[in-house]
Amino acid sequence: MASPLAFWLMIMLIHAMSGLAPEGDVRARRAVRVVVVKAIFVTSGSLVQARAGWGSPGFVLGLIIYLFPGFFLERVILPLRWPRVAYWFSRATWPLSFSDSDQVGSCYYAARALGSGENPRLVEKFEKALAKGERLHGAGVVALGFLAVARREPEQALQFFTVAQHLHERFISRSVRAVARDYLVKEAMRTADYRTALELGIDQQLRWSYFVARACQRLLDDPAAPSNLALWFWWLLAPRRLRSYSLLQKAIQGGARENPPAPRTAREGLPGALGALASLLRRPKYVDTDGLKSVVAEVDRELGSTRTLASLEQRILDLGATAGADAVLRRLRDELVDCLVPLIEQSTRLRGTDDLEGTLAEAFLRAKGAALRELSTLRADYGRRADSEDTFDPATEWALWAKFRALGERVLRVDPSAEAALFAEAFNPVLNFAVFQHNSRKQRALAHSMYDWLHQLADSKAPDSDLLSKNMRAALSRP
Amino acid sequence: MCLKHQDLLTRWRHNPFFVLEVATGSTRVEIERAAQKLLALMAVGSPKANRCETPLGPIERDADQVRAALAALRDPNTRVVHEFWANVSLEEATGTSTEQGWEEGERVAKVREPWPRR
Repeated sequence: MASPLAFWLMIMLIHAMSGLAPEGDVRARRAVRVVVVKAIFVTSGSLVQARAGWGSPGFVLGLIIYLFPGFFLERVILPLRWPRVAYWFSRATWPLSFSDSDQVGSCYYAARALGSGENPRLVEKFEKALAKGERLHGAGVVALGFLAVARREPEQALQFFTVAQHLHERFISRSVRAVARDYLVKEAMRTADYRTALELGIDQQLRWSYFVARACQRLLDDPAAPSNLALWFWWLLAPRRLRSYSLLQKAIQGGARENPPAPRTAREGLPGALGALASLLRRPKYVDTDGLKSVVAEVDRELGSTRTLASLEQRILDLGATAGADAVLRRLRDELVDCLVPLIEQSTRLRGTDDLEGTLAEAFLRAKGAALRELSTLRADYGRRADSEDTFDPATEWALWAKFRALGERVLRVDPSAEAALFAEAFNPVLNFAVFQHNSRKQRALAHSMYDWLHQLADSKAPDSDLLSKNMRAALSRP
Repeated sequence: MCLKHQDLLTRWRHNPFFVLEVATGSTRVEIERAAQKLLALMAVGSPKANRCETPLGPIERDADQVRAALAALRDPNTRVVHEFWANVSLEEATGTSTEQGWEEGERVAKVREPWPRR
């Protein structure tokens, strides 16, 4: 060996070209093999170093990089946004932060190094690399999420991160889950959805998301909110303190910011009511259910007022229109519902309640209907493919499952009472497909995710719940 | 990258009265004249014709949209519906400071790349 550098480069080249872990849920087994192989190389390297008398600093630096590759990936390579370097560095150094195969894990780091709107060919390259994987676990799913971000498909990215967030610990490492969760927390904070950020981060002590959750408790005037001193403490323990300092200051100021007052306009009547609605639609991420209720109720009141009816009848007369006032009002209400449905579909803060009335109730119903129709299509596809034992590549299957799950959650958000009906619709086709994936395709992570979601919907006393529990245990058992 | 909400006002912003830049009380002749003027400007490639301001924000428009707007306003049954949507008042008595507060809250929570570490 000419130098320690050449020695370490040779070792890394061997790692990169050989691949180590077999496909599948073998996280612990992979970790043991990585540690054993690295120990062998480190020992042999040390012996050679002692004999050759190499300068220590170079060898030690190589040793540190070799033993702690995750540190260099997270702190050096990812911030520099070098996806190809991240990919090959991961292939060459075998970080232990994921439970997937080396190929998939390397794609995970490469995808994280990509930015939004990245070169499409580069994105496609990593997508193909992921598609070659026989099984995808947490790192693969999160990688798919970051690739969706790179393709500027944020909705799909959120679906992937949400699925990853709910994976069993057998299929996703803590660090990978933290990356997915941090993205979801960040998105919740962008939309001022402090409750969601709180729910996501409150159990994750010493992480960034935990500090954000504690800050959200202050912003929401939660009874369990920490004191100023405690908030400073959690801020000091959390990473990225400089960037979260402003949030700390805001949280210390405190005050309920969950439900801003609905916008009011200076002009009365229907124009003013429509103006308030337009103001809400201009800032959809700040809209909450109570605010929307009051604004839409005002529009409903104005549409039903005698003043509006008289004005409408006069215009019909002036223009020589043949439609009656009632027909025009019906069309106006219909268009108002059309206006509200996209808002309900895309906002995670809007939730259906029992006291919805009028146009808003109709809009929630229509949003639920649209989601159920999409679900019905996917459900039928699962049923057909389970019967014919037809499957796509794992990446596509995860994308379809993430979408199905997101649609199901949307149905429950707009109509919380639809849980039983949703379960009845989804149980058979999804269960059968999950069993097919589990038994024939050995996609345990995917199957477990499906069993788990159905299990959450199932009535705990039903026999279906026992079957799902049994299947979940089977998916977690050693292959 | 943040999740960009779909623009929920696109359809409203393209109300025929906004596209043609005419008042809801305009006569049929005024509407026809406005449309023909826009089409003529577009035919000669005037950049001003392709963009206009509406109460809900600026829009881009093309000749097809101008013709569609004209057709919609020629029919009194559809015109009366579009008049109601066009009569929108966005003068806000309150809400500005609240919006600023919300936007500031978003800014302080904004996490730029690279991703937060554990």
